[in-house]
Amino acid sequence: MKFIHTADWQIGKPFRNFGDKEVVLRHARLTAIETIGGLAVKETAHHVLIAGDLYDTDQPTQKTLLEPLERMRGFPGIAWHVIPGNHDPHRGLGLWDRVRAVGVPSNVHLHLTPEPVELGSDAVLLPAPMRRKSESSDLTQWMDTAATAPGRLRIGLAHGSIAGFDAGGEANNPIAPDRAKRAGLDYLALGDWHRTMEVNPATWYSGTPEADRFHSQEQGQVLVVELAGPGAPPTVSIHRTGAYRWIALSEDVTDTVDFDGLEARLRALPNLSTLMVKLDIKGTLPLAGRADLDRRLVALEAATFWLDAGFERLLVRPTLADLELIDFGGVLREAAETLKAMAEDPARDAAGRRIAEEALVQLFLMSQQNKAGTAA
Amino acid sequence: MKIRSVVVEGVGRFGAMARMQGLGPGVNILSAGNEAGKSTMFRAIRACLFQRHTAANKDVRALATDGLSLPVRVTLEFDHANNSYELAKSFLKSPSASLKCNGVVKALDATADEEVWELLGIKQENSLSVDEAAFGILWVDQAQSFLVPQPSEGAASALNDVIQREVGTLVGGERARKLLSDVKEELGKLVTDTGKPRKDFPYFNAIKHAEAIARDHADAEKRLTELDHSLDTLAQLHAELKSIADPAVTERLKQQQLVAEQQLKQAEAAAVELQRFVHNESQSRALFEAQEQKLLELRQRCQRINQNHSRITYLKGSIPALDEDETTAGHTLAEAHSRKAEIDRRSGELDDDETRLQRLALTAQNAASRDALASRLTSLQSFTSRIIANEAALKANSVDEAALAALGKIEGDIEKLSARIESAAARITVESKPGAEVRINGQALEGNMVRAVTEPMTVTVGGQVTITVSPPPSSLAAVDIERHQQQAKLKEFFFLHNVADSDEFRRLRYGRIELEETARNLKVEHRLFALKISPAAEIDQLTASIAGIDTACERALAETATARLPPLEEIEAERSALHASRAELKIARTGCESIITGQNDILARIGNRRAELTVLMKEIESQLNADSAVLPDSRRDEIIAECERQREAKRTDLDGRAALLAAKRQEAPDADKIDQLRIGAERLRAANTRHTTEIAKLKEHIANLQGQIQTAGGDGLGEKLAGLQIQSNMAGAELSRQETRLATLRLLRDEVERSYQRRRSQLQAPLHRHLKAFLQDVFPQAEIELGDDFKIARLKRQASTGELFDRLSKGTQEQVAVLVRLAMGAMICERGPEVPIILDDALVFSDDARIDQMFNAIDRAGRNQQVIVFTCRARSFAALGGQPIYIV
Repeated sequence: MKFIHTADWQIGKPFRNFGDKEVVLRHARLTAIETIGGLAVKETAHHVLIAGDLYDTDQPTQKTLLEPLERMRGFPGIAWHVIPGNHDPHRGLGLWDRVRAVGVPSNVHLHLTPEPVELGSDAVLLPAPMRRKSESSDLTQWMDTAATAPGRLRIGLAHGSIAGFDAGGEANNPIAPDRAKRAGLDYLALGDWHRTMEVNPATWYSGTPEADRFHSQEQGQVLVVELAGPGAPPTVSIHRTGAYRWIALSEDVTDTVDFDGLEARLRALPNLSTLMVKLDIKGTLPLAGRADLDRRLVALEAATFWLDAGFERLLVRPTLADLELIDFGGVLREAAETLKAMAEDPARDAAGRRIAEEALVQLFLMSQQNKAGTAA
Repeated sequence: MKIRSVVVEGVGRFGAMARMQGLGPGVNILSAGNEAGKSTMFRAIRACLFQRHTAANKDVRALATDGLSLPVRVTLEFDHANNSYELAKSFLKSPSASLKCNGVVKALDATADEEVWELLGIKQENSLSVDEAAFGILWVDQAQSFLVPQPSEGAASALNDVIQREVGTLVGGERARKLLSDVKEELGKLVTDTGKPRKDFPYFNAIKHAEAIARDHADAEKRLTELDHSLDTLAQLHAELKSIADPAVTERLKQQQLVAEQQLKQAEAAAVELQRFVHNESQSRALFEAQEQKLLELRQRCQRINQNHSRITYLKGSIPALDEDETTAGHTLAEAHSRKAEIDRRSGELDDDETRLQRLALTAQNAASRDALASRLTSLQSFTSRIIANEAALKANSVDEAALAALGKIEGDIEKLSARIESAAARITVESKPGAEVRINGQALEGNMVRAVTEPMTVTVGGQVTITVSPPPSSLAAVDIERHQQQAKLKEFFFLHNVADSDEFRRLRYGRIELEETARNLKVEHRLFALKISPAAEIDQLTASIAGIDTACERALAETATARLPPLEEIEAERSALHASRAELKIARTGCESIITGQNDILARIGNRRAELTVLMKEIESQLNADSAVLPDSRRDEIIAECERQREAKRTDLDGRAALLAAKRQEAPDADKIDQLRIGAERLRAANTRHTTEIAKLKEHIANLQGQIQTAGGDGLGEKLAGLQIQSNMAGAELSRQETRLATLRLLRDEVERSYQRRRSQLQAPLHRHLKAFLQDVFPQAEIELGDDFKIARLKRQASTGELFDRLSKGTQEQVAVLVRLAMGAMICERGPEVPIILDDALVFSDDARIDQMFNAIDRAGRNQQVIVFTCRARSFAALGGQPIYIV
């Protein structure tokens, strides 16, 4: 039996901090469903198991609520099996009642109670739907005693964090790491962790099909799982479905030479136009170098889909040449020297040093602008 | 720049073309009276240089000549940077502008406007105005000379520019000032001068946006929490309903209620039966108790009849003693009344004697005052006679002081006139020897004589010789006539006052003075009499009073049948004896009254006692009659025995009913038991009702909650909240960024300003260098302390700590301000473009000494640059020298 394991679609997730890119990023998550559907058709996988968090919230707008249903409806040959996760738990008159009220496509199966469900004639699905945002008990425990006909594959579907395993899940919803073994499951499909992760050969987190954050899975993917028969180890293959790659880089810079290296490395990455970049720049730069860095980043921002540079760990220390550029003496030079001393004064708090540093950069930039104006 | 000439037409008082000529290098002075057009020329120069030719603002409109619809034309010729320029502008009508350089047109209209500004280093502030730069501080308008020069941005730039050329490489002041200006401009985009966020600018917008997002976020979060809570509540309600609505529980409750209500009904029926027995026993007890009461009353009545018979007997026995007491008291009372009447008669006689003695005493007192009245009458009559006599003498003698003065004057005039005549007349000297018979005018002369001959005089010597000496007719004839007139006047005076000569007149005058003294004395005497009426009236009153006293005395003696009026002492002795008799009678009368009162009290008490006995006996007899009617003596024992028999019958009936009641009480449930059963039944009934109501309410609550959830859940609240959370973070980050920028710019501003302050003395050094020379001209050894932006802070003279500029006199303020402007001009002229200095009606507060010193300073300025002075005080400014300017 072959099926696709996916989770954490989080349809409706907002990306306001990405400005006009929000619409694109939201749309990409819907497009990923179609990619999954296409993959299922291609792989002749008749079932897609969605291990929770199909929606980002249990109170979405009506349009958001309908959008994934309509995408799934577009693949009538595929059976989509959905359980509620911690983002979209099932509660009376809640999200899933709304879904049922608007009409669930015939190929979409909502598993809102923990009871076995036939997956064709070969397998039985044991779902563990969430009824609250946070569960202190292990909802997969019932699988241990769930009776299924002999010779059938037992497939678990759940959402939560593997207990004692540093999965870093979002919710405090413990799942025993050996649940598959205890419950005699041939495969336990898990959701919640946005990175693809093998807990044990029969227990996997699929990760999200479209990446949605930095410092996590860079690009969205799903798992194609093939089960040869009861007791046989599953064959799991990873398939990329995400359109955008989210990478976080930490760069040390001390000179313009470093800028060249940084720029070269970024430009060498494939599909630059679909690249989401978070750049943590650290090190120490002179004033002139700091201004140069800004200019270069503007160019890189235009080249990528999104670029966010953080300078919290970047120190700006004027060189003698910088100070000479401000003025070789007199009022401005004296002010620059004072600000430099303030920026380096360990007696001042970090915020105070940062303000002094910013003031020094500002002084440098304005003095250069004035010079340019005078020269013109 | 050096101005060579100014031509105006249609400007102010210059409707026709007028030219200001004679301008040259150094000091130029235009001395002309008020309204000669000096300030008009100044304003025309300003407009020509600094106004666009198309301008129609109030300054330009104010230039136009009243009543003429001519264009305002101004042509300015000047030299600048070794070139000759002519700038011609026409305002308001057919506006135009042209700029010629060395006779060649260089620019027209707007280009001409702007080229001149560029040429002179003037910055355009906006499309409507320009910053006059150095011209703004060196061209001093009327009444502005005493103000502290406050350089505009352009002027400060010009000053700093020249300073920069001298010390700028070291200090960098102008660069710092420009940067500071930029920083402040950036700060101004964030906050106002008072530090408040500037509306509609990034910082303000960030705050407002963050606040709005926070509000939206809080609202969405609240609604979502409410929704979550509703969903949780709904789940709880469902669980509760499931538990409460269990049918087994409902049925059990109903059965319990039925049993309890049956038990209560039975208990209540038994209680009603018991009440009937209680009622019967109560009725029987009441009948028994009434009979017993009746028997008690009969026995009490029997006892009272016996007591009343005894009391009547006793009361009748006490009446004879009362009769005896009453008779004794009557006799004593009559005797006392008789004695009291005798005392009253004797008192009446004493009253008559008292009246008589009072009358005699009054008469004697009046008689004693008669002598005093008679004496006063005599004195008053004498006084009146003396007054009458003195007044008559005064009336007869009218010679007063004025008349005496008139006499003196006439006599004086005659003497003066005679003296004049005598002095002019011939003098005759006669010496006669003893024995010689010489007569002058018939009178014998003894001895010698010297006399002036003022009238014919005959001198007879021995009867043989008669010499007649006649005065010659002289020029003093008129004087003589006047003397005669005065002499005639004297005679008339004597006649009027009825006197023979002046001696008599003067005697009369002395007599009059004595009479007046007598009159004053009489007035004093009059005051001593203390009269309230006239003396005559007083005399009449006294006479009448004496007569009245005499008459009254006679009448009193007659009426009291007294032969003579006894002396007062005798009368008083008789009155004392009378008072003693009266006191004795009073004591005796009081004793009688006491006896009468005592006997009356005794009689009253006897009467009261007799009345009490009567009433008491009537009451007893009445009660006795009533009791005897109920219980006659003949049937008394029979009646009481019958009553006792009936009481025993009722006691037997009561005992029977009480026994029945006690037996019933043993069988029936008591009140506590019934109450307990009732409470139990009611509790179960309420529990059933509450159970039913609770289920209904739960169902209703669930229905309502479901409705609310369906309503609230469809608007994407969770999705909205997620978006708002991000927006909130972003708004916070943006606000933080703006705050950081604000703090950054403030720190930068403060540090540059601090550095600038520290180097101010270096920056001001060039200006001080120029200022020193000008100060020496007017205030030797003095220094000026300059503040920020070249503002004058203090004037230090002779090692003093310095006087604040505002505290200086108006004159000194003006002089210091003008000197600073001259120094600024000199400084600009030395290292920058030459800008003429124009002073319009300056130094108005300067005294003569100080104005000469100021002329030295102006003359010093004129050595290096053009100085144009407009003044209406030609005389005061004559010492300035300089080249005269004329308006033709």
